[in-house]
Amino acid sequence: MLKSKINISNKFIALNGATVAVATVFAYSILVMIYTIIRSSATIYSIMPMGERNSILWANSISVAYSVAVFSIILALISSISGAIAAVILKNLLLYFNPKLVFKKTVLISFITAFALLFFLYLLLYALLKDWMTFNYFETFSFWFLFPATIFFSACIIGGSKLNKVLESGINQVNNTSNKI
Amino acid sequence: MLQIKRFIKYTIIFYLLIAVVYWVFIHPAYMNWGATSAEIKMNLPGDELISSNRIISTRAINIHAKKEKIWPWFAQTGQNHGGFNSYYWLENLFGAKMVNANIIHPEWQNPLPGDTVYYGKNEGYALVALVQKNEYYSLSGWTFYLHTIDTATTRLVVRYPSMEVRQSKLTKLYYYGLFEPLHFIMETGMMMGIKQKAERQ
Repeated sequence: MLKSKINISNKFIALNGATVAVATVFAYSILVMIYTIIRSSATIYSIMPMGERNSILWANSISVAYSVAVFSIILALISSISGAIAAVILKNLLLYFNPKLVFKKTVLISFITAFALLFFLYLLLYALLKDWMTFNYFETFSFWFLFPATIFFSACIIGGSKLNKVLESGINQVNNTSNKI
Repeated sequence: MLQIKRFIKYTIIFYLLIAVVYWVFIHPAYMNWGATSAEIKMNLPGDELISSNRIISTRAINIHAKKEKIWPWFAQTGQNHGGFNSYYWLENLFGAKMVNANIIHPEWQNPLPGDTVYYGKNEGYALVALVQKNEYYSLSGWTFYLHTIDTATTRLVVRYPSMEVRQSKLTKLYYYGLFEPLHFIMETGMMMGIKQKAERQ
């Protein structure tokens, strides 16, 4: 079996999955931070007179940035676990269903894995939050579902194709070593 | 992968920088944003409801309208009434299901002590503790006080009793790490929202 020859540990894959998850949470948080600062600042700018504007604009912006930073660190810690699990699942599915590591097949498997994991996460969140979960407002729908889902899909598909390369290089390395022997 | 790790490193450095600016410059200033030293020291209705072991913030803003034009917006405060006049889109990110009323609703104009004011749908609530039409409105010590400056201007003074000082480390971490900056954003948003609506009338 080809898969038994690949010398890339689950621990290595999990660590990389966790790192990607943390990076995506940080990237998303920075976008949310910028959006919140711009939107709340526009409101403040339209209400406050010129002389009283600057102090509240600064205080509000830094407070938003600080709150988002704290929130994103908490979410990054939680997401690193799901990122690690997703990466290990993806690696094992790729090796099982796509042992020759055909690129197109890898993208398809990554897409299906992302969809299944996202569906599971959504059900879990719904079970935990129930009525708190509301998609009645465009902001809520975008913030909690549309954007994170898009980022998750992208990370899974890009991560899957990168993983494909890593696994390929692992196979080549094993093959080269066995050829030398 | 190296670029991703570098991005994480720089983001953490950025977050630390934000935290330093927040704690050194912003936090001390915003506790009493807009309030004069006299307003910070003055006794307000509802102070008697605040236990001595709490950190208190006093914030103030000028509103170019008479008390009678400002009061109706306070009277209909609450998720179950006319909202909080703050950043509803931020509140709704956390499932508050908040709708800020843009008109004065006559049916909500007579709040009474003991009335329930919800912070969000299925969320926490407070009871109206003290209420005096056109003068003050207090939710368990969170007091909104209106003070006439001249015929066209009113001073809105808001006093908020924060978390009790003696709490567990985890509670303090939650309170200072997340709740307090968010409360500042939302409370000042409310003060400015009411200013906007009262001045527009």
